[in-house]
Order: sequence, then structure tokens, then C-alpha cells
Amino acid sequence: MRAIVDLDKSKGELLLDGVERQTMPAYEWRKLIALVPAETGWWGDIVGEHFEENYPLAELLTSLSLSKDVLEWQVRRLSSGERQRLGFVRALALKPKILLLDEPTAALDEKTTKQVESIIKQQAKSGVGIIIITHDEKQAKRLADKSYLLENGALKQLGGKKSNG
Amino acid sequence: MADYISLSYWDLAFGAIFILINGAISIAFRLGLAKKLFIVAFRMVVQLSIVALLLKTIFAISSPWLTALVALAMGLFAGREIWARQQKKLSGFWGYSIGASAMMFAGIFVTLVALSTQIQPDPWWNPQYALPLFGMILGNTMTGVSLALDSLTSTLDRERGAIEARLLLGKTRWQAMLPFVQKALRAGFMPIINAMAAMGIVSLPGMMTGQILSGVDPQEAVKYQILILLLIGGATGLGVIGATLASAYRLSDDRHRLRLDRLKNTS
Repeated sequence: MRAIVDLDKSKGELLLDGVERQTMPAYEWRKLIALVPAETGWWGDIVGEHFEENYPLAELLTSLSLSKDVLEWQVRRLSSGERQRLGFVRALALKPKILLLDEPTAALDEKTTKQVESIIKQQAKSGVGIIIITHDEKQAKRLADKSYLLENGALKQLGGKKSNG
Repeated sequence: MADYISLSYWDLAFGAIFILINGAISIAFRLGLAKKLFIVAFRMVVQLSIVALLLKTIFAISSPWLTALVALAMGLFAGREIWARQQKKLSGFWGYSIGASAMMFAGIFVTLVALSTQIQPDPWWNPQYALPLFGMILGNTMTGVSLALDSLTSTLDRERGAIEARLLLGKTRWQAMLPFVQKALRAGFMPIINAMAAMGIVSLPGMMTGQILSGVDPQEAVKYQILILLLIGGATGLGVIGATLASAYRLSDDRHRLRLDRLKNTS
């Protein structure tokens, strides 16, 4: 996933809507294809410093069981689950065409996992391409059109609900 | 300089008594410093004596090429010092050359401007003026550059997660590294800012006291000191900015990736 967003060096050609990755600056590419890593990174003391001001967050925050004043909280007091959800929100705010999610619910309980999954489904419905890495087979079944299993270094197609990629 | 008092070698030997007392204290309290103290004191005497001989010779020969050569050697040693003071450093040739060349360019540029416009010795490269001036500017620029680079490389290494998060949100490499570059620049500027703030109140600088001891009117000595501090400030700024930006450039690439793999493996 890091290679897809050009954070690690990679070979080969990558096209999005017919445009090759190398033809645009990497920072533009990363706005189109947003990666949410399993470990989210924070640079400021306050949560709000990590979000663009003009994006309407309120609804999204409530639907993920995050308090409305979470933006005024201190980053170091966030739980790992809160960090993960805020990292997810932060990527959604870019309005990407493709979302790459690395273990998006690993630090979440059942309730918030469901909430994240429902947002993922909404996004997919509105035309955003989504690639998820998960260790949870049931989650793969719940969400995926196509799923692959990485086993002993080999990638194997498992099939899914539908077959349109 | 009528009221200059020359020191005899007996005066120096007498001064060494204080070091002997320190050594005795170290032995009494088992600090284990006595041997080290004597060795560094002895080294100091040898180093300074050699410098005195060298300077005397260089002043006597008074050749522009020899002066340039000595200045270059000073720069190379200072560059090594910058390199050695960084915990994390760029691997290979870059680790030495970025800090050393930024410091040398800044030091040489400021020294040349001062020699040609403000001090104007005759000839302009007169080693009696050029070398001490260059040495003071170089030494301070070296401190600033090494602090800035040490801060930059260790912060970029530690804050990798934060920087890559910023890159993932569509920021350019410069935008992503900006807070950490600023931190490094601040670290580099700190010593000269502190020095200027304390000047005359907490500390009387060595150059100025030296001139006063050798009989120069304090007002004249202070004028020289002010010029030196302004020059040091200018050279430190140029060197710190050059070295920090070049290192940040080297630690990222044109695909806006953070390239910590270009740091030397210290573990």
C-alpha cells in the first residue's frame, strides 16, 4: 500500500482514470489515492491542528461515536481507537477517488467497527474505490466485492459477493 | 602599546599550580580526573605553542596562497567537527560535505566582505587580520550548523510517522517537513542569540578582553567586538539555513518521499 501511494519506491506503471502516476506530482497523486496506515501519525498537540478548517466534520464525527469537541482535545490523550477513527476521517476529508485502508478497525470495538464499515460502504456506493487489508475474514466477507488471501507469500483469490471490480 | 605587560614563562609555570591543586582534589575525592586533567592541560600548552609558531611563520611569510591554504585547513577541521557532533548523519560523502560546505561558504563570504569593506587591512588578505577573523566566524558558524543538523536529522528520524502522515494528506515534502525544519533552524540560531543577549552583562568576550589587556582603549575594543558579533550572526544564519535546507532536500526526494534510508546506519 505504501508503494501504491509512492511513499516507498516501486517499479511498474500505475494508472488512475488513464493517468499515469509519474505524470503528476506525488502530492497530487496522494490526494486522489488516500492511504490510512494502521499507525496514524500526529504532529501537533491539539487534534484540530490536523484537520483542514473548511471541511464539514460534525456529522462524520458523530456517526463514528466521536465527541463534537474532539478537535479541541490533546492528541496524547486520545485512545488508539480514537486515533484510528480520526485518521480515517482525516483521509475522507481529502475526498479521494481511491481509499487504501490498512487494518482500519484493528483498534476498534464491535460498535465502532460497524460504524466504520457503514461509512466504508457509503463511500463505495458513491463511487470511491476501496482496498482494505484486514486479518478479519468475516469483515472481508461483509465488505468485499473481491477478496484475496495472502498465505505463505502467495496471493489467492477468494471470490466475493459480486464479481464487478 | 606602551602599557602591554609581557608574561614570562615563570608566570605561566606559576599559573599551572592551580591545575595541580585541582589534580590533588581529584585524587582526594577519587574523581579519576587527575590524569585526564594533566593530559588536556599539557595538550593545550603544546597545541597553543605550535599555533604561536605557525602564526608567527605565516605572518612573516605573508603570502596570500599560504593564508588561503591555512584557512582551508581550518575549514576542513571544522567540517569534521560538525560531522562528528551529529548523532544521526547522512550516509557517505553527504554527511561531511553538506555541513562543511555550508559553513565554509558562509564563513568565507562574510570574512571577505568584512576584509574588503569594513576592516580593510593592507593588503586585504593580511593573515594577521584574515586568519583570526575567519577563525572566530568559522568557530561560531560551526557550532550553529552542527546543532541545526543534529536537530534536523534526529527529529526527522523520530517524527517519521508524523511527516509521512502529512505527506499522505497531500502536502509537498517542504510543507510536510516545515515544522521540523523550523525547529532545526531555531536550534542553530540559539547559541548566537544567547551570546548576544548575555554580551557585556554576563560575559565579556575573549577577543575584547584580550584587546583591553593589551592596552587598547575599551571603546575601540568594543567597536571591534560589535562588528565581530554582527559578522558571526550573519555567517551563522547563512550557514545554518544552507546546511539545514540542503540536508532536508537530501532526506527527501522528488517523488515527495521521506528518505531516512539516506541516514547512516548507526545501530
